[in-house]
Amino acid sequence: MNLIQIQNQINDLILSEIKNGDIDLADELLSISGHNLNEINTYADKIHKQQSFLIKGLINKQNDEKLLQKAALLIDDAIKNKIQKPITYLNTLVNQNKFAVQYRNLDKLNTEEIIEIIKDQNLLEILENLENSN
Amino acid sequence: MVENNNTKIANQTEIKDEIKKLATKNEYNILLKYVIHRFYLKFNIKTNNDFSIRGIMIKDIIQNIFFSFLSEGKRNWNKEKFPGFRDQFYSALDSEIANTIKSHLKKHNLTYEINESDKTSTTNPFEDQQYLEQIYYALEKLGATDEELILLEPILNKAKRDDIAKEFGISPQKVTNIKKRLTRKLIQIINQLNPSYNYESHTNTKPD
Repeated sequence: MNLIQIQNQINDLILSEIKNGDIDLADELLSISGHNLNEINTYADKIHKQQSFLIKGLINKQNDEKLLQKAALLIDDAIKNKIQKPITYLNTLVNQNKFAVQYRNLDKLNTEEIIEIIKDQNLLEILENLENSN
Repeated sequence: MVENNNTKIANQTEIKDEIKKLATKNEYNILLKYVIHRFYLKFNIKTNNDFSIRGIMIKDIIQNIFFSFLSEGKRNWNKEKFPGFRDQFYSALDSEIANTIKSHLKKHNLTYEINESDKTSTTNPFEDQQYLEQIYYALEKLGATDEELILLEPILNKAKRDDIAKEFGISPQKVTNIKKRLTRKLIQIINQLNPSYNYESHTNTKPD
């Protein structure tokens, strides 16, 4: 074992212990090397607040998109199979909002257009209703 | 989970569940400190007062990894290679750090020496042996027990915990404890191991 290899192995060991959650070791090493631990802890809190907010937002957005897609496909299926309850529901939505003229003919709606109509609605409620009506 | 060419790739729901566990206050604390240490220990690069490294913010590196796992098709979780997501995440982080440094240096036409290379050796084997002896001596001075000194080499050689336990007739938990104590002693002598180990102070400038 040569000098560089030993150095690397020790560095790997330290990093592996920190990676596995030994925060005291990381702090001790930062202190030894003259860091201001309070400042680092404050900064870690700050980026956690910023990024966990963004991460949650992204996950929620992706989940909503998935639900929207699922609901749109179920509605599309219901229209094709002439299941009355979802058709009535969609008609109500179309008549209640700005889509009244644009989407009068439900038979000709594609998935994207269905998404446009239902995107601001309570998706969980829609899915529940759709699943009950099938 | 998706089976792909004999590789078990986790689905997005599994990844999201694990990301939520990693995006906690405590984990961010570990992540930030890990990145600071990795830049120095592997690349000899010190963190600046504003938590940037050569103009690259550490927070952006961490965020990129989280977002790349959440963007379908960007980064996968290979469950075959990394049964735990944490290991997959840190492996991606290590690659991101290496790539960030490489592209930065390439952009600025610079070269660097990565500490990672284990092919390099001193020209003098005697110096290498002497170096190892110095480590043992320093550890002894710090009160290392016989067990710690005996287990130093297998631990540095990344021998598996259970294998060490079996070979030395001790419990796996004892191996873990010895490893922890040994690492703490090694960081006490790290200044001797890496003579330039001395970060820039964070006391003068407030981070953004």
